Amino acid sequence: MLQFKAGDQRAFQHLFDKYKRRVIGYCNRYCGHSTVAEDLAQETFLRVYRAAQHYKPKARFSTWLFKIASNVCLNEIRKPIYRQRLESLQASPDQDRNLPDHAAMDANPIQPDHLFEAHERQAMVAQAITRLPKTQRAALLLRVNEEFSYREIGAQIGRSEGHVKTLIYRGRQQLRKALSAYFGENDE
Amino acid sequence: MNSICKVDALLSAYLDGELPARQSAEVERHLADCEACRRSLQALQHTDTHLRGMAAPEPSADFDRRFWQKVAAVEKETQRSPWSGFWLKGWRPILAGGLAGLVAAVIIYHHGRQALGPEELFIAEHMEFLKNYELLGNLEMLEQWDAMESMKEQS
Repeated sequence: MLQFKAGDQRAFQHLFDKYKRRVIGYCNRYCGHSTVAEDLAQETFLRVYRAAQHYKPKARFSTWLFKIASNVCLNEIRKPIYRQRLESLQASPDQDRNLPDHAAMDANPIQPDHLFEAHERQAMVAQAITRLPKTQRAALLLRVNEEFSYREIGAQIGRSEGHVKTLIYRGRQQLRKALSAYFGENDE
Repeated sequence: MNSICKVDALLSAYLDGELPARQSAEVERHLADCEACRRSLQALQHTDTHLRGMAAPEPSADFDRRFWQKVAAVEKETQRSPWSGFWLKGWRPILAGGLAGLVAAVIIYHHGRQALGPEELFIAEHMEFLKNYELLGNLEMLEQWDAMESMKEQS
């Protein structure tokens, strides 16, 4: 990032290529839809590009990158258009298999027979994640999937380490409860 | 899950390796004896496995192209308005200074107005008349001529 700040455009290209899949994956898990996730990932990298001149290496680059990605995701789900967009995409199921179907979840908490097929399992997990409170969701994903420390997550979402610990504990408990309804407590 | 066991609340941080060494050792000792907490820990591990098992989507074919188009647009915008950086960087101190000046002016003006009671204000406004015709009952006021002049200006 410091190389890019010094004017080396290839350094940014390298960062983009290195992290784009991770950022798309994070945004996808967070918002529950791959098309939206791509837009959010692009917005994240655009913010990095614009902010390069003000970048100060206080922490790992990835910590800063995922702080921006978390802000972008949090902003997105606050928008009323997010829900509308999600609902309109739900109407076209072929576009995305990760789509959470909240209406179906509410109407029928016990899911159908082919539950254990891999894609269905992933859809169930995606649904459960998008139902977590937004900060809890960010903390849990940053820990479990991105493997940041509690201290780093605190810096990313603007909370103390103690608060992060509580958020992750509650997130895990809630997710465990939701998934046990589908898979049982100790399936594997 | 054993709802009585206090260690259950520590299992999440234990799983993440975020407990202090002494506390972590206590949890390990407890796990050796507590079947309920072992099951609870296993369930949390399975939850994490489900989370990690979510496949990350591959970027769409035009993901890179769309992104670099946006970057090009940002660059174009920056070149078109070279002063935009200055204004983005400089407007906050300018605004803060302006607001501070405005607040100070209001306080000074308001304080000046409050210092003049109705009687003093009348005297200040009719200073020349009262002086010329020696109608000013309060002679002490004439001894403070400079102060009275400044009151007049403030009014």
